[in-house]
Amino acid sequence: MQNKSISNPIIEVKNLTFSRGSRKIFNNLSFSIPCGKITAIMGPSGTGKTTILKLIAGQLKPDRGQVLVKGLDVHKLKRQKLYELRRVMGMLFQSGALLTDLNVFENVAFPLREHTNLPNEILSPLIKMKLQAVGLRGAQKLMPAELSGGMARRVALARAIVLDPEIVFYDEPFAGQDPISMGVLVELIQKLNQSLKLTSVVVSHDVDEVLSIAEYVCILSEGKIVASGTPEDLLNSNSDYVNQFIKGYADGPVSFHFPAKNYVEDLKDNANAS
Amino acid sequence: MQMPVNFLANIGSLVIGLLQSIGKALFFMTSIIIVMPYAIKRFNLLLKQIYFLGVLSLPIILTAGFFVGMVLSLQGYLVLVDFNSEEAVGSMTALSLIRELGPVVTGLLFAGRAGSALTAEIGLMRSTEQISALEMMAVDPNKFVYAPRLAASIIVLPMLSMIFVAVGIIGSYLISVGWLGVYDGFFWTQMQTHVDWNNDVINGIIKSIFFAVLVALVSLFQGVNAIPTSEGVSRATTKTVVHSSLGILGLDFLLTVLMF
Repeated sequence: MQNKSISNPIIEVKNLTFSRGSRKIFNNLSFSIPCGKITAIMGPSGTGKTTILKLIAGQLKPDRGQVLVKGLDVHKLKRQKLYELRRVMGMLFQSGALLTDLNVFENVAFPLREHTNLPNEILSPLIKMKLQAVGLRGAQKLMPAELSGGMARRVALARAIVLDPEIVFYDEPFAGQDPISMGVLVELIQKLNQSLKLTSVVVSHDVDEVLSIAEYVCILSEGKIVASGTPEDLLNSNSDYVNQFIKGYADGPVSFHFPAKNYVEDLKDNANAS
Repeated sequence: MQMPVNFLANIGSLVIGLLQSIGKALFFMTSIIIVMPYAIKRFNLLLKQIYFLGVLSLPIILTAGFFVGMVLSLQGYLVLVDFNSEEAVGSMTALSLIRELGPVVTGLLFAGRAGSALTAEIGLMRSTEQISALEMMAVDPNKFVYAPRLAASIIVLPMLSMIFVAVGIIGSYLISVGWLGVYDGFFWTQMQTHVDWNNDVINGIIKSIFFAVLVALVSLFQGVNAIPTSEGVSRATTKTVVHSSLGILGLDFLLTVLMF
């Protein structure tokens, strides 16, 4: 299954190479993210799913290649232009990343207070509307330490959409959530995408949740996109790797065993040594 | 042939590593210093840090100052009484406190109490992705997080140092006049004649400004470069205290040579 060309990409990653130390995380990676849809980037842990989000947002610099967001090369922008571009991007971090010294209301109000001069009479209803959208208007006085993991993520989501961005990135939104918070988040991502006309990019390895909302999916493995298409395309795929990943088989193209020397030889060595 | 080549290569990589980290530190320092005016504009952020770094450091500074003053005058008295010049104990304590012990001991205590807290705070902010989140919200952490902390340190440490000196002198007065029986008229007049405003007091304040910049930059730099795990943050905290304490002692020697 090849990367199909997308008619109206909002994000284009072109020939991207990125390494950490001597380890190459991405090698000549190219893909596009369509405008106005929910796109999922999936892959096993440690394939650099979070890294790709940070590269797109310009928090990390690639060794080679470019990332175009709305036609602008993210890594060639001056700091101020980059910050301007970031105002149209929201990111939901895995941990929520709420500022621990501010309460829920102030956390959501933070981007507005930093970037606008709105008086409190206008600011307050705006924040309450965003909190209402994530169902936490009642929790506005709580401190981040008093929130459950799922609630913290919802507050962070309210904060991510407070500047009315065009693109929202979700970094592992479902990791470590109970079934109810998972359901809430799945619904929120879908609803917000529709009502705010967003482009959503969800990075995750929770197959069922992601396939239920995504309109376009890329599967990442060992620094490359190994498959992409609609959820139906992937479910009907005849690639062994895609099948193993989506159905969660323990063994397959991704071996159950970490590379090691021959099992029998290894045991014999021990017997000889003793 | 292999051995000496390896040896040379190791030295080379050490030097390159060292230069790289110095470069990184200098780059970090400049990037904070150029946004310092912003810290003053955002007065509420600055005020919060002044409270956190300054007001909360007061108990340890007051206690330490009091005891250092008392011990200084006890020891000084024992030496001076042999020469029948125990009245000089006042000026001796005041000069050692104002010139050396005030700035240096306050700096060391500040590194232990506030510097370590700064490193841990920044390290944890990074490991919980708060710094990344700020960047994503198009808020520059240099302006919002680091500059107010540096500015607050520069404002607070000279004040703490002066408070330390004042409390130390009170401690010294209680011991020498109240307990050892030094005549209090002599105690104060000796101090007045020997302590000079420009040479002693101003120089002491200049010293503590240097120490404040040093401690704040070391703490912030260690926090920013901490490996974002619990072990990494604890190591960075230790490094902050060790590096800034040694830095204070070294810098104090240099400044003393230049000033007095």
